[in-house]
Amino acid sequence: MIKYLIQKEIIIEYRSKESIISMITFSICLILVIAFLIDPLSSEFQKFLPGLYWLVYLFSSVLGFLRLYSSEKDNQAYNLLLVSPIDRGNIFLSKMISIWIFITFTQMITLPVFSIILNFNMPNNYVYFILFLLMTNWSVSAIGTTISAIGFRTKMSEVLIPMLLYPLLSPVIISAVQITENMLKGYDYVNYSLWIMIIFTCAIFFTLTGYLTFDTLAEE
Amino acid sequence: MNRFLDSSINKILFLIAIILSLIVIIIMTNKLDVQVNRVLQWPILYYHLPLALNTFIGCFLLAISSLLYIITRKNIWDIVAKSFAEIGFLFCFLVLVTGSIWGKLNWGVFWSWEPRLVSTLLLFIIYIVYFMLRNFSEYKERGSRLAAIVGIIMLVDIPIIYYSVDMWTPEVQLHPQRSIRDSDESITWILPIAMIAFFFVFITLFSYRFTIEKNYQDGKFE
Repeated sequence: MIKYLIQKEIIIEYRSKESIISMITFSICLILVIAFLIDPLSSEFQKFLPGLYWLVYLFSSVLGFLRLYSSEKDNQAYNLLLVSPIDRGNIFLSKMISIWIFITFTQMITLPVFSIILNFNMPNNYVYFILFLLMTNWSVSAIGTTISAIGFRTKMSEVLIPMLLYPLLSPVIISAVQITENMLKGYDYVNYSLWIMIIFTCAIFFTLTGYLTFDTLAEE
Repeated sequence: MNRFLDSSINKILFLIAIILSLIVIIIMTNKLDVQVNRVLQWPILYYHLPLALNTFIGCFLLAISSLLYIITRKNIWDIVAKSFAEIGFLFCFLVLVTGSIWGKLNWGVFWSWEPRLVSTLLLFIIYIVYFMLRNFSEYKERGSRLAAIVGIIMLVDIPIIYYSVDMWTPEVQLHPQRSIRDSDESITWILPIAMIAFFFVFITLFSYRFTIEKNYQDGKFE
């Protein structure tokens, strides 16, 4: 069943291209602002790049989370989804996996742009770096899907979702920045295993919380 | 209308809280004039650390009552959770304020961007969002339900605050490490008293807030 739900999300996104286009455009705007702000060729600037990359990522992914449920508000599509004979945990998982795909797709485009415009050297061990990015995306999408499910039913969803998302995402983003810095310096896994553990714990915790509480969250 | 001091449990709680707080204040004031530099160094441990640990306890109790609300859907657990959240929020705010004042005296700055301070600030922000969720929902029951889930999610910040001093090297941090109790012998016996005193203050305040909220929701206010 999850397969069809994910298929539905991807078809909607493929036809409307709402969240991916907005995320990519917003990321590129932010990258341009950063490039104008500070001279990207100076060597002192290089040490801030991991943090700036994850900042761009954080701001742009929020656009995706704001669209995640609100796109289904029209024509009561969300209520129809809830009354259909599907386990509600599966709805959460499908939303989570689809936003994970969208964020990863956005990252595939924005990371090269970031590295070209701001002269950002990618870490040498590509396999580990890509695995780390995928894991961070999983963690972020698990947190984001739970929070948007909480926030979008309130009167001030556009304000509440980012307000709740940033504090809860900050452990993940801080860990991601630390891991990227360590990877750029070519350090061994031992140096950043703690940070990986934090991201992994957040991913597991929020996937389980979202899966188990979505039934309660989705009630009228 | 139920008054706070009508119940005998509340009377006992109130008395224990007052007596223990007085004991802590007397110990603190006796310790103050031992050495001049100690005035700035150690008294913080008799209120800042107990406040912080009771914030953690408040978070745990909030999570438990939120979970019970989700499972049972009884309004009483919602009132319990709301009261715990408000007192926990107060304690979290006091942790930040007392820490900042102590930091200004010892470090020269009110705020330093380091892991433990930042993670405590995050807890404070999550508390604010918790109350926002309660107030900005379309109707009360939904607000309570959503807030209960945030109350459970909030628990993830507690181990982060507790272990945050281990994550960076001690050299780059100003905040004292967790092994501070080894540095002074008197701490080992005063700290538990202070913690129990603040715990009773916490529970008494909670009970007071609970009584008010219960009266309010039952429509018993005069």
